[in-house]
Amino acid sequence: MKDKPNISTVKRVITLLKGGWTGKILWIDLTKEKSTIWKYDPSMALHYIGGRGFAIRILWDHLKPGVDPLHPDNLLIFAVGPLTGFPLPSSGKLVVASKSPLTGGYGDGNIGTKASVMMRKAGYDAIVVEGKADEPVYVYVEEEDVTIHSARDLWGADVREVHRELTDEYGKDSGILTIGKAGENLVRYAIVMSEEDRAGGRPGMAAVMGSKNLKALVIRGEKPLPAVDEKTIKELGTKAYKDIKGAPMYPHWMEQGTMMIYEWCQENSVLPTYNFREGFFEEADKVTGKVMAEQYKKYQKGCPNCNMPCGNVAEARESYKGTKAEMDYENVAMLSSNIGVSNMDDVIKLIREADDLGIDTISVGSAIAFAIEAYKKGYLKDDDLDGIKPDWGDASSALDIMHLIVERKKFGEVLAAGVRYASLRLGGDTVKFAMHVKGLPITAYDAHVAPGMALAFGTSSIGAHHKEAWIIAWEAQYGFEKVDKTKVEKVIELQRIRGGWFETFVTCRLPWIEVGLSLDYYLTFMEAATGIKYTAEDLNRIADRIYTLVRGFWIREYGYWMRSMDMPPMRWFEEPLTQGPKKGAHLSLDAYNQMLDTYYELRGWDRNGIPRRSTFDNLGLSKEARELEAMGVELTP
Amino acid sequence: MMIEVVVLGFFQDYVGKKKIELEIEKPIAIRDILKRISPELAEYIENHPENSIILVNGVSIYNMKGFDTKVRDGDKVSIMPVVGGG
Repeated sequence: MKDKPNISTVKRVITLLKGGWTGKILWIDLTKEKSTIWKYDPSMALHYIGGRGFAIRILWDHLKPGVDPLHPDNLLIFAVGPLTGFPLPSSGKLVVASKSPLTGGYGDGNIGTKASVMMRKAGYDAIVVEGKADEPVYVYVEEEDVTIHSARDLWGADVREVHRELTDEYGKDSGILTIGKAGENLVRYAIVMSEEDRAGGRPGMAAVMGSKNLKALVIRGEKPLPAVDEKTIKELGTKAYKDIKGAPMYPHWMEQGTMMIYEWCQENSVLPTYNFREGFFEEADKVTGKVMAEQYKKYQKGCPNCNMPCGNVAEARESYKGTKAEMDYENVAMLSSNIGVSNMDDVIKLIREADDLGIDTISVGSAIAFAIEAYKKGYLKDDDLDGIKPDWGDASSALDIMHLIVERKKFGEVLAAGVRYASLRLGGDTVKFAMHVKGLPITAYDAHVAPGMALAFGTSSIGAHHKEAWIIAWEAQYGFEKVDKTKVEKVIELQRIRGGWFETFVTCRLPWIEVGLSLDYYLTFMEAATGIKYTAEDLNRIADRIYTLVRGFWIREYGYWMRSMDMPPMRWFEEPLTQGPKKGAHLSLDAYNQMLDTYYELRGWDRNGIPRRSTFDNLGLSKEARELEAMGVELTP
Repeated sequence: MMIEVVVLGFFQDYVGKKKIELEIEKPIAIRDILKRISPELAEYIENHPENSIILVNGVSIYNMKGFDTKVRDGDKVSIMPVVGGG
């Protein structure tokens, strides 16, 4: 792809990339069975950093507007950043992005995996896949050598099997990204998997892989990572690792990981329960981080370069004895309280099954809860669910529904397209309890009492997700009941740092958010890696550019926009909590609208959530604004 | 007069349990409750106020009188770190 035009719309700069970035993107066309190395315009690196910044820039420039996400023309992007892979805290991450088959808008996710480090060592800042193979294949990348192999024997195999087979073939240190049956069957929330339990790309990135007949991507390389000042990275990295180990929270974190928030959510009535109908689960005591750590935990696993591994692997003790799964708060909450299940063995089994099938645990937890509620309210009949009679707390029927979805049998076919689509098909009140924003199911925080978290879900750039403005802990301290500008500003601050900085570096946000590693480290890391001195303001501005371009992409693909798309489901406004200490609480529509207005104003977007012309211009996106206007989108000055 | 104190997360390491029933003679300030249940925890919270959440009947003390907020008979106090979760 040497002939690709300069892709940056911002002023061309002649600076050559001295370090941090490799300056190269591998572009693989599965239809033509060809790959090309693209030396991209350095201004993309300077103005978008990497990760999701590269992803949105590439999608905007190279994806034909209006393409069906499961069409061969859709682009699947794996992107790392200038800090990925260096010996600094939790740098083993990559972003996988595409136009989402679940939401129809911008979709991405990040995943901790050796594949991130290997992509860097192979010499690339990103790998883009377009086209579609004639038959199931996997792609092997070893630096400049790119080969396409038949995956006929792997098709239908579960995630762990594929991982084992490819590890046997290419060695333990190879980076392997794969899909399970859910991706093959184009379930629209199939997720990309690595190293058996690591997952990324909730908005159906694995369905895009499946649509391309791409079962796996294997990456190896031995090139040194480019750094301007390697010594500083090493020294400062060592110091940062020490800071992490010395943090007061560290021992507790190492014991429970993200599961430590389970009882915290219960205490604050934000634990998703019965399809987000409640925020308080009467049997929460059986599923807490403490119970997991003391009775079920076997060992811990993590990503490359991480000294605070979050993967707590637990083993079932009675039913499903011996089954092991990685217990993360999100997975656990969505497949326990949210479907009424309180037996830890059952939760472990549900997570294991979802991971093996390569389906997003959060979205499938939401789909199962939706199906239970729809069945109990008479919207679904026995035959729709192939004889399954789902109920709250019944893990066995929940497993059956998961399989119905992955096999796309009966109503599983509809549920495989997500709860938004399922509610549109069923109609009536189901729209109120389809718990999503922009088609992406809400992650594990009930927001009846938490307007800040509701706004975070409403305005997250991929649809409802906590990875950007995870405001809930701050909000508890600041006061759930408060609805003011400070809270909205906090949402934007978190979106900038979590959704901007870390998603472009690309490194894990957890050292900062979980144990309080100072953000100052990252500015120095960036300078040491790239030789460029970025200030916090620079990085915030880049994050704002990315958010506005992502919003532009949604508008481009949808053809219109309105503020209702930035609203959480009506359940939280209209159906007050009936259980727990905050009984009676619900969100206020007026208050939410007031916060949303403030959010738009601070972002420089109009009252419908469309960025103003002047905002595009100020962020160096005038060309993109003109493209939207040419499509008939009216931009407010 | 009784109050219920719930301690979560690693703050439990300071007090050894999750729930404590406290007998009080008259309304008592949060600062004094902390000292009573664990002087070490009180010191930690004093030094790291940004890392603690204290609620009285579900409302953050930062929206009342901070550490001077008075707790009365039958009130529930929740003391927890600003935990992570992803």
